[in-house]
Amino acid sequence: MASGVKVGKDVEKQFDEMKLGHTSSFILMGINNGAIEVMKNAKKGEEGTSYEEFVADLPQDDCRYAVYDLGYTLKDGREQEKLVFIAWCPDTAHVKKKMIYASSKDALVKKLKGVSQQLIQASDYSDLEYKSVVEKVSMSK
Amino acid sequence: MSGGVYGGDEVGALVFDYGSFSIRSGYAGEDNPKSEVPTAVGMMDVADAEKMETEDGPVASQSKYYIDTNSIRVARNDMEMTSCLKEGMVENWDLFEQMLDYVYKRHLRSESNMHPVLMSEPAWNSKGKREKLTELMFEKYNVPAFFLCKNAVLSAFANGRSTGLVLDSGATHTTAVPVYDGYVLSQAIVKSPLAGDYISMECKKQMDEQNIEIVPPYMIGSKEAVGEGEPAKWTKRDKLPEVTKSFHNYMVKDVMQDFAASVLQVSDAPYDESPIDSMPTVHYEMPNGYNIDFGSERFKICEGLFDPSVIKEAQGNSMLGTGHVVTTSVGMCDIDIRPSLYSSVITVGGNTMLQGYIDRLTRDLSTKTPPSMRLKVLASATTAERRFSSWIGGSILASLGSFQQMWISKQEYEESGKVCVERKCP
Repeated sequence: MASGVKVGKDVEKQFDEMKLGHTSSFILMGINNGAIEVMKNAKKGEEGTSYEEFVADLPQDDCRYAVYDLGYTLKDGREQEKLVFIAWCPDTAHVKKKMIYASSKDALVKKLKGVSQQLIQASDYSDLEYKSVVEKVSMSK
Repeated sequence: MSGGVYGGDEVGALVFDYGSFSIRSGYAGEDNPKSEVPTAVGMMDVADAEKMETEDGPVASQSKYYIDTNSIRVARNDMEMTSCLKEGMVENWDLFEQMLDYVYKRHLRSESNMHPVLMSEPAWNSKGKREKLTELMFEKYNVPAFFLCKNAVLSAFANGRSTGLVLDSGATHTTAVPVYDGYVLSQAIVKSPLAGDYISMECKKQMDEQNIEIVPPYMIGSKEAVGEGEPAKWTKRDKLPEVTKSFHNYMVKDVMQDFAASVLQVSDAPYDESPIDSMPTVHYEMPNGYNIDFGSERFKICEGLFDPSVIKEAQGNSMLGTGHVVTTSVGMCDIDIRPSLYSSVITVGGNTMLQGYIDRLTRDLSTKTPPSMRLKVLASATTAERRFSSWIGGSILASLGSFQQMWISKQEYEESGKVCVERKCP
């Protein structure tokens, strides 16, 4: 079941730029006027922005979607890079926001070809600890 | 309402959410349901088709039904209490229609052919019943559009999760429904009969043990105030009709529900007499004026919910305690998704409003979850959001402008028939 919310064109465009050109380390997205758009006012997430800075950019009582370009090292020393999808729905957000973001997520993920299959669902900052996110993402093949 | 913020074109949809305790209904986009009608109905068999009486006059019917709080609580000769649901699914369609008629006419005061309807359903609803409901809504009520939604999915979404385990403890049963990416994993649904009605029954047993007579308000003519623990001074109402057993039991249950809500508390650790003896007591006055303090009983009554081994009659019975319902359900899911389920245990339903319920559940689960997994038990802070979570979820969804393309329209129904519900509303 889905909400029918559309994914804006600039989302795919920005995502492709990020995927192919490594132009930014993260994209923040939100739902505006019935469509998913890239947040305009948010920081661009220049290449090299640290993970902590990214997490600090997530609003405390509003929902967001994000894709973060996560680089990490496996136990055997290999370096990995994955585009991680994060659905950010803090418990303090309004029920309307939570409902719309949760029910529209599927449509967005389908458009983002190449994100890690392990989607991160986060409701507080502790869900986004670097260690646990890496652990979860490295589970997928 | 702030639906406009999301570009919600006003579609004036109605949202229905039925459960074993009540049927919630109202307009999409509103924060709370407009009406809540008890699922229990009074029924009288009449030899020749008499007239049905609701609060607004007679309607022709085979049986005579009494619907809604004010009608069902009147003591009448030979009125049996019944319900249109069985295991959460619609069983008595005739009665279900009567109730919808009533809600439309009396509470929503609207024409059914003017408003799209979004209805919730239990996660284990059968294919036949879904199709029958779709048929009923289009053929009888002539709705312009219809949508059917699993209540567990609505609850999960309303809590901001598309993946999670929805623990719903209502009147007749407690269920755990795993939701993954917005879809119910129906092979892993676990149900247990230990829920609100069980608590009411235990309260009644406790009263019998303490020799406290429960006199429902309908029997009382007058009463006087008495001191604590003194025998009640009350007189029976004159000309009391000869009520049926089911009616009397329903009224007793009603008193017990109030008692449970105001007195009971779930102990935060497995029940143990000694530390609990030192807990504060709660004063309660029965409808007939008898009043007394309740101490350890407050905790003892709830214990069976979490530890069925204390239930005397259930020796050797396989009923599952609340914590086990959750762990069994998660255990039936794929090992890769278990961590995501444990990190979003969403609690909904009226029975979870018992004081201390969430604390105890969290404690029980934390001893049972594997240490490598993060556990998070979610519960909305407000009563309404927890009791009506699926209604609220449906209300938000149906009010979205973008949702309009999801509805089964009248035209689609006419083209492909009732089977379209399987395709449009998986």
